[in-house]
Amino acid sequence: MKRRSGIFAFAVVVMAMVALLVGCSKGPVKLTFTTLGNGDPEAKAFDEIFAGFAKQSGNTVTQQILPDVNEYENIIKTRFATNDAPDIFYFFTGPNEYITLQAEKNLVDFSKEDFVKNLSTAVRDFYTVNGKIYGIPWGTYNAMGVMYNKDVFAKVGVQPPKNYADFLAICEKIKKAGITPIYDAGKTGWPVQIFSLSGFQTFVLPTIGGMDGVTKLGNNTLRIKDIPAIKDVFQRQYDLKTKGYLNKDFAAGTYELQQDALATGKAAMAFQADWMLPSIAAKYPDAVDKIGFFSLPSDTDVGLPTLYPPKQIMVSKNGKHTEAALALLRYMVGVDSLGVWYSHNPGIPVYTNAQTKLFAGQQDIFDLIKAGKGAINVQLLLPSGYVPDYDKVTLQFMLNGDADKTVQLMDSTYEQQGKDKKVPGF
Amino acid sequence: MTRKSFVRYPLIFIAPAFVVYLVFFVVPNITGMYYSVTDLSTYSDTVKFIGIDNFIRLFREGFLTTAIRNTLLYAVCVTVFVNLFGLALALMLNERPRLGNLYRTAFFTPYVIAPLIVGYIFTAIYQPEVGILNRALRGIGLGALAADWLNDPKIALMSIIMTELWRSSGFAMVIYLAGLKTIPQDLLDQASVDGAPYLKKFRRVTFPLLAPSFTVTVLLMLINSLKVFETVLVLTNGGPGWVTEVFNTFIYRNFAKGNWGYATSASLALSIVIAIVAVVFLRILRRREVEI
Repeated sequence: MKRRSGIFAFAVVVMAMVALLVGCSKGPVKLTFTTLGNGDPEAKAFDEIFAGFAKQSGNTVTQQILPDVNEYENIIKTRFATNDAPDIFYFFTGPNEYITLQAEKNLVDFSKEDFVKNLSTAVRDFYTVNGKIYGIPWGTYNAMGVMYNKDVFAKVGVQPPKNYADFLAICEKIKKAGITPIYDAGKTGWPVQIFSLSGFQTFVLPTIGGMDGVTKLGNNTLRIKDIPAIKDVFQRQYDLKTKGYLNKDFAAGTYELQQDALATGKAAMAFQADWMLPSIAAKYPDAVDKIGFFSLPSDTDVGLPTLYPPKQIMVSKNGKHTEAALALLRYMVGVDSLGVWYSHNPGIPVYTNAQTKLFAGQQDIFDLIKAGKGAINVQLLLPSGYVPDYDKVTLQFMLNGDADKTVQLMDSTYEQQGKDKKVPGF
Repeated sequence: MTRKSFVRYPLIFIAPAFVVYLVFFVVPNITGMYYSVTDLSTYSDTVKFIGIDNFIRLFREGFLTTAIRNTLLYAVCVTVFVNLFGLALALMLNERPRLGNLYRTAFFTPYVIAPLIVGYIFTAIYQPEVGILNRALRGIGLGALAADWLNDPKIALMSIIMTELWRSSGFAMVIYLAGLKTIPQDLLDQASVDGAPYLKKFRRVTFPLLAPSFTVTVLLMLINSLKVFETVLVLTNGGPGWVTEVFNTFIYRNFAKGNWGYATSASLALSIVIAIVAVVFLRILRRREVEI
């Protein structure tokens, strides 16, 4: 009798412990949302959205901001490799990042989710590869080209250019008026590549048969060193420096100083994208709508904007809290959350159920997109990505002016990257 | 105590340390050597043996040549000038013991600050518009010397070297001070009585007897400066472009890109370079000590 009661007591204790453990595991989840530092407006929007999610679900979300944009991709890749992947994270644009992160192995496929229907068709198609969607676009549709200060243009008496010669004449007139024509951010690095990326659509695409040429680049049947127009684009960019159209402190210029110079009229133009406008609005709310946009013009016409679809949110397939992360994502793409996002970060939405207001520069871009103008940034169209360390390549070029050496370097490193990523054709 | 236990007991005591050494040093080095001849990367789960392809690629791409050149230039400049400044400071403090502890502490303090923090401090100091270096130069009428210290490709590496001189001279000073204290005073007194001027005393008595300190400082500075990383990463990140790229930033960049096999081969190459330099210099300096 004593032995039976002992066994019974033991069984009760074991069952109680199991129930306790199960109960514990169903408690609130602490999620980490990893993102790259991109200014206060984004961080504030995320904080507000996560607070709403916490209220609704009881799960808390901590925003982990990794400040170095240049190292962000490397940090995320390393975390996946060391089985320390973030639950849910914001990542750079483009389905070519599926290769970078070994999407099939590491990421959740969203193609069967309901919210995919709310994406605009072009963006949904852009992010779909072999019927799978591993990254949900989040944020605003941007475009790269020339951001300009309308007040400075009015003061000097010029209008947005009709062609490239016109653009150079405008730069000369602004320079003679004692204003820096173009502010470029050499110290920050990544803004320096915008001229040549915009120039790819304007000057290079027509010479390689448009998207057919991009496909050939992507499968390595066309080499970078065999495209003379690429060298020509670099030469044009260097000419801006030799003609004195760039800021004198080019090598020390930062993205923040670039925003300040454009907003205050110390500089007339910047090769940039409209993603700078929310940060300018936070610091110079009265000046932001005085900043407009025009595409980098070609020799014969006004050119095309270089489109940059929004970054994407991804969820780790093998993370500790995959289900909770998915619940967060479903909450984030709801109307209320999108409203919060666009209230802090006005811009062209990619969700058909989102309402937003646009800054003047973004309206210029939206008008071009509605008119069917624009081509997606070449970096996002190539399976292996474009040239590695492209920001360093362009900065190095702007310091030494050797276009031949730069193109050779681009060709060899692009080829090697394709081999490293095991992309077919390399 | 039997012969067996005489051998066994020491082995038992060194076993834990030996295991740690094996696990954290020997095994990673051996596996590193293996992975340096494979295509290990984040882009694929399979690992394939590729022979010396990584090493061929190291020298085919121009980045490593630039990194080696910058690393060697940095190492030579830092080793020479840190020893010069360190020795000068030690001689000065040795001659004036009343300056003593305060100055010794002041000169040594930069060395205990982490290189990363020193990098951030000097990023602010070197700022071309509002940094205190340029403001001081402008303030004393030497505005012509104000420069873009970290972004001008001609002087960026020199700026990094100057930062390290500020940081490490105190360390060399401490070693030389200790060496100076071991020189018998009667030798110096004898030289003075014989009428030897200061420089001659230094050349014939002091410096030869500082040979052990010289060996230690030169070797340590050489090896540490060949491994430079944090200072360059924070000050310039190898830039502008790749102008100040050194061996370790090159390795770091490739590890970060996910090209692990390739980065490991670069690490192995750096280890070999450091080992050769260390062995050669140790032999030369030890022979010098013996001759003296």
